[in-house]
Amino acid sequence: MQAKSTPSEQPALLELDGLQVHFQTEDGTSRAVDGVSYRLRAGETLGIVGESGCGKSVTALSILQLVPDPPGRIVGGRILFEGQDLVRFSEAQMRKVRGNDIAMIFQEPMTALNPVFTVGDQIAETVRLHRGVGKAEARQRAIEMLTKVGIPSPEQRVDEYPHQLSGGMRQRVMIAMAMSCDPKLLIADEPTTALDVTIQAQVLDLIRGLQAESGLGVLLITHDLGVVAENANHVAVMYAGKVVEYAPVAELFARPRHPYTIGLFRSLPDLAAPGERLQTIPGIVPAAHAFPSGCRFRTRCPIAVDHCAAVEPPLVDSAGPGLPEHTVACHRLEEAAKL
Amino acid sequence: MNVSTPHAGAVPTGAAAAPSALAREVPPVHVAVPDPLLSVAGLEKLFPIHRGVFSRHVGDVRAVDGVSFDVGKRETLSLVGESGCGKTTAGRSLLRLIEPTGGRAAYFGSGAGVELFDLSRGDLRRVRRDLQIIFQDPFSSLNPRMTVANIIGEGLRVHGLARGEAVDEQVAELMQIVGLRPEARNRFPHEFSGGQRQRIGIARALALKPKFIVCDEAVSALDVSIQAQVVNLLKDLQGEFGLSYLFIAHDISIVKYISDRIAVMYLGRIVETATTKELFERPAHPYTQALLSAVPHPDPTQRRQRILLQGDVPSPINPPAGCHFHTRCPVAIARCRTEYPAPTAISPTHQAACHLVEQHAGPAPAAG
Amino acid sequence: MSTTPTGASDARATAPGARTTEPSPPPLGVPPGPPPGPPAAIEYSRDYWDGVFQQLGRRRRVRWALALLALLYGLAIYAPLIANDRPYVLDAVDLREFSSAQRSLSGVTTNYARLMREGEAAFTAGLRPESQVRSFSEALAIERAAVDMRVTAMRRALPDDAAAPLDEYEKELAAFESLAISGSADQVSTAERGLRDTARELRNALTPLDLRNPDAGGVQLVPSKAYPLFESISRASAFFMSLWLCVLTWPLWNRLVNRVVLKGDRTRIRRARRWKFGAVLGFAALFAWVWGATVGGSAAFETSPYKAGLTSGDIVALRVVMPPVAMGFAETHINEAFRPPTWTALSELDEDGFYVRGSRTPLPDPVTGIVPPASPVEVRYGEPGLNHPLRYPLGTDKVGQDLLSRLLWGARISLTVGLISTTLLVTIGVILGSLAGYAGGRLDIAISRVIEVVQAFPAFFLILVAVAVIPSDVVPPIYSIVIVIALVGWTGVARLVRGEFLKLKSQDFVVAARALGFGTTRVVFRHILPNALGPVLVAASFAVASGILIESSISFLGFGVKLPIPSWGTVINESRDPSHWWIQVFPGFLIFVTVFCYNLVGEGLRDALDPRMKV
Repeated sequence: MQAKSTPSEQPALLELDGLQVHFQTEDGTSRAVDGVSYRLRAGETLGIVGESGCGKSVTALSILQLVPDPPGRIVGGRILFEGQDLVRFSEAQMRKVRGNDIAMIFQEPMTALNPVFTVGDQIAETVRLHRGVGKAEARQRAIEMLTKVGIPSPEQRVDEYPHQLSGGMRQRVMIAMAMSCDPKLLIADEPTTALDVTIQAQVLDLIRGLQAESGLGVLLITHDLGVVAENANHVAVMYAGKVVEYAPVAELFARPRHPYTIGLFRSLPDLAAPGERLQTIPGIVPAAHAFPSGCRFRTRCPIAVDHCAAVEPPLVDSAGPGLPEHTVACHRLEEAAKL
Repeated sequence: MNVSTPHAGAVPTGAAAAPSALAREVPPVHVAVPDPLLSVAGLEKLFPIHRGVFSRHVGDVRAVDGVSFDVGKRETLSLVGESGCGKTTAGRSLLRLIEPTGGRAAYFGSGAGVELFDLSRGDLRRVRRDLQIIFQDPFSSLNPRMTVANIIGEGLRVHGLARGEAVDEQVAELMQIVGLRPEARNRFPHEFSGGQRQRIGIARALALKPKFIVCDEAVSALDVSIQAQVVNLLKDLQGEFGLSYLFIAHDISIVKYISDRIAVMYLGRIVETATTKELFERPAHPYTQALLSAVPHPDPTQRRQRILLQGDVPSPINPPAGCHFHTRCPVAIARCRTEYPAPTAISPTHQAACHLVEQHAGPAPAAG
Repeated sequence: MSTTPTGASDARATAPGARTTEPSPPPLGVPPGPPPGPPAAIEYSRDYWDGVFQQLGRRRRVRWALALLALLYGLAIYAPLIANDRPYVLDAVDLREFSSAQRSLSGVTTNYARLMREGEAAFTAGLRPESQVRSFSEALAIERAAVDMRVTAMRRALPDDAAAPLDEYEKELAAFESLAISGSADQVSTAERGLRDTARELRNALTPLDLRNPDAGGVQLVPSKAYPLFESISRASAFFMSLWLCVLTWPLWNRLVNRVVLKGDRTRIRRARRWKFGAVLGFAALFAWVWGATVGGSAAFETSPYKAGLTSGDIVALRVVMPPVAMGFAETHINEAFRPPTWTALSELDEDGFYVRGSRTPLPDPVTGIVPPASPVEVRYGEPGLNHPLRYPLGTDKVGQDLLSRLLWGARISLTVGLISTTLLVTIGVILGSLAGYAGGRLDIAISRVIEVVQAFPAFFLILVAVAVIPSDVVPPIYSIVIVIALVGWTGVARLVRGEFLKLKSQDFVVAARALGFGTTRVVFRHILPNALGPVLVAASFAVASGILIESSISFLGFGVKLPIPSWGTVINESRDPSHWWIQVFPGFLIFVTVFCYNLVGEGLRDALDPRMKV
């Protein structure tokens, strides 16, 4: 499925086109990512929302070819970064891209940082590898980055080890590492899930600031709809390895079209009046090796009919002409609107 | 630094008589509730720090530093705070799963008040049936080698509440109540999803027909839609069985939905207590205000002015002098650096410990 | 307590502006499907250990290792049935026994009759200080028993129609006895003489037919059937043999039991597991007990006379069934000491049994030029021929004992030592480790220091000292070795268990158990311990291998089990001469294979227990 592109838009920085990543497990083939397409433009933030098991992290890892093979493999689709298909890149070419043009930050800062090297060394390592500069210059750059991410007294901190820093600081260090080579795209895989709310606010603020400064594109993966609402320009909702809805953020929150998205919003306590029961989506996410036929959400969907089991709904733009695209994958949009 | 953890089954320290360290300086925030089910006063848990070759006792981690609250019947009190504030330790010390080093806890479940921290092992075992706990991590809170039927039913057998076939029947019934299929009761925990495992944990807690349940971040590790299911379940159970909850959480939006009253903790102390409505409409303490403003709201049209706190949470080993929050507080005054604020009553159900609030409203009456 | 709240009330959206009127979703965990019918059957799943063993079985190496170990243990357990110098079935006439009985009967009769005639007074008068038997009645009984024994022996071998002389003799004996009590001296003397004559005649009348010299005539004797090999199997051996058989056929009868007795009901099958183990053990015990009561049970540790008797002709056999390896583990062939495996030797011996080729050929004396006489090698009954390749498939040792037989019997010692010492050390280690891990504080500190002290001991030397110091008649060295290995080796397991306990103690499910009011015992044994045993299993496999190696080393140094009981290490000790390669290679190879298999199993367990390493 191809997304529409209007001539006035900039060319996409990152475009996923029908990406498929399959895992070989003892229970069979797990189709973790099964035809995912979205695009991200420079200077914008794309929020990928979904619950655990929907494949959003695997998608992100596969952009940088970090999915372990075996058991996982990219079996189809294209990943276009500035027009080039990353799927076809050799390992050597990918190494030039990682950390340099595309950087990634992870959920758990403690395990993402190497405990036996100082923070400064880890930042400097990236710089030296990609820029080929000497030790002293790399260290200078490291201090510069630490300042940029708002760590106080960076000249002392640069020689500290990860375990001496708090969670929020470690996340900032990760961001510093990621930004040290001025990447064009930042992939943030649940960057604030492990952090406290106040620290989360600081870190997201920092990312927004860096983005404004350098025009970098941010792929923000999270399960928190609030985070997405405040930080993203566009949102893609994933379920069971597929994108089920894609729209600009204001449009998505104002008019969610897919039954899953609607159900998600309903289950948010923020949007519930006190005393009212939370609406729930009955059932659980299906296991990755045994997805239902046809529409994958039909087993939990309140408006599913037989047709939904037979044919998989394509992603279709449901917005009118001239409006920003709002693609949904559902056969029964009119009934969904009545929910 | 090595922090020695206390014995798993240590004898109570006779903490009933010794007042907590905080009470010596300043009374803790405490909103009394008429006819409470549980009344905690000055709960304290210090972890000693030993340093050096001879493991000298050089200081303490003041994980819980004088916490007082009441929980009424059929009421949910939430304990909210960020990591390291001591809320989990408070919940577990209350149930004496970690032995508290100070304070008193009176339980009124069986008529006359019983001092929980004075009970002997045998008496404590009996009282434990009334005071249960649900854990955060659905993966480590169930014994991976026991079937679900065993996990839920073991309590029944050990306390002599049922025997043989009756245990099986009650287990099946409990599973239905929490929304699981009874046919799956001979399966093992690893075959269930996170949300289902939490339900098993809830069924286990319910088996002994408790009156009070500590929900220790019970929904934090679940996906949003599963959180909603479990929270609905908890509310239903409260209505049906008349339970009281101490709901420990860091996600303030869930807290808003489920609780009657909320207590906000920072670095081992409660800084504000109020009813849910009061807390969200008129948060008094600067920390509460920052906490509420930091929560991302799922409404892109509302870009609020955010209060961003500077720096990180200080360590509970060496809390700042004076008000613990002054290092990050956007409105700190000189007095905050030297003097810990006494609680101020903003309303009969709303108290906060802040000098600025005191200046506006006047000091609180003596804590109950 | 009856409604399912989640089912019914999801549709009960009360707030204004509610947008859903969806039908009430079914209880959770079930995707929306057909309405519930009759109550569903209870589901079962693999429990943790089933999963682990399935993972284990997936690796080919481990399967081979387990098969090899099963084979080795089977060989060890059934060694008496495989390699023995006793025949399974012996349908023969014991010519010598009959002959000696027949010839000595008259002498014994004479003594007995004289004793009876002389009476008590003369006996007491004739007692000498060094006489063993002091009482007349005792002496009488002894003599009578001697007569009876010979009569029985003869009667056993005689066909019914030839037993008439014996009957007559017995009648006369009885008559003489009654006469001796009540008759006069003359009558007694007459009867005595008559009895003596009868006995002498008996000797002539009942000369057995010698098959080597049939023309001499004589009585054709009746063979009797015996099962010497089975009689020599002890109760303990019988127990393990039947147990092993049950274990090997487990898949078959287990399925049968599940289908027929338990009628396929999973609940009952689950519960019956313990009963099945008990039943197998009980059946084996019952078998052993019955065996001991009926067939035999005297442990055979001496060379039996059967082969010798058969070879010399003292036992004339109608039917003899020898075991496949017809050599005893303690059966010596002096003239065949240090013979290499016969399938490598090139017909060293000629038909008369003299060494004519190879290194054992006697060389002529350099001075006189005369070849010194040598003792020929004899081939005993049931053994393969002198130069037969299967005579000694693995060669012989210093006193000509067949190595194959010794290694098979020696497996019993070597394999058991590892198992028993490991069982002991795991028990000690688990107990102390869990105490240290759970209790913490001072007890933990104390036990940890003890662990460190014990670990500082050089285990091997301690065992040497223990075995050397403890006299072997007080405690047989085999027990000293087992106990000392256990006393020194428990520390590794204790450390593992302590570590697991420390980790598990603070896990939520343990805290939950305490929150439910369970006592310490229950929490430790039913909650923590089952989860802590994974690494212990791995350590146990390696400990068995290590135990076998230690025992072999000790025996190799000469401090191990005493002769004639073989152990693999003892066999290696027989010779350090490199030209006797078979003495070192074969036992060494067996030790190697056993240890290697145990190590493979241990590694397989370790991988199977690691949740990330799924094959």
